[in-house]
Amino acid sequence: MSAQLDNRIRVFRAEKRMSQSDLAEAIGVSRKTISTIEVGRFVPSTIIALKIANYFDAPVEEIFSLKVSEG
Amino acid sequence: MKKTMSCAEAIDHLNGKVAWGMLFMGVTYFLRAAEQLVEPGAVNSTLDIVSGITMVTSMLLTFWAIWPVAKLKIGNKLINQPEGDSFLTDAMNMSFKNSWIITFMTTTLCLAFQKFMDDWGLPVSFYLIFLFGFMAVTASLSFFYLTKKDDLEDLEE
Repeated sequence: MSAQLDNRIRVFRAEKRMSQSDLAEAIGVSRKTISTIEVGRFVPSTIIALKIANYFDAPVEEIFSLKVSEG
Repeated sequence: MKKTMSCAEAIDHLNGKVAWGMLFMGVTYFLRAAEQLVEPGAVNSTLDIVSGITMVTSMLLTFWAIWPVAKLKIGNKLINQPEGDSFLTDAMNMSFKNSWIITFMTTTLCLAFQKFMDDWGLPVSFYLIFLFGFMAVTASLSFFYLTKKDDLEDLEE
């Protein structure tokens, strides 16, 4: 059984009509970091995940979730 | 008006340029190791000149890499510490780990063939210089591989 981190950052960004660069600047990371988190290429630290959740004023599990697959 | 680079972006740029610097440094050390394989003469002199050029290039790259961060520091703009965790920093750390694994495996393999290598009669400095270059090149190549462009990321912007 393997788990993969799924996220809804793009949805939250779209709701706020903000770019990856805007979000990156707001939480103090680079745009590349945000873009790689969004596509699941980079698993963020708990600190970054909490900063994103705080920024969108949403519980962290509403933005990040585990996608568990068999095998 | 030119937009000021954020601290996180500056550190990301630093990582990328450090990787290029390591690649040039690795190549420089490979050339220096190659110099020891050839007799003094035209080829040796050429290798000497080329390794000098790559050495200067890697020094310039290092300065180019450090300058944006140094500029922020001098201008007291590096007040808020950027989040230490970033994709490129993570890739750089992973590259160092990969480089260590590859070097460890290569060294183990070389030790298995130690008897044959002793017959080559090369000085110890050759192996040290080669090993240093090998570590720098494998770390930089690993970084470039891990951070290769993904079209999907840009679609998300």
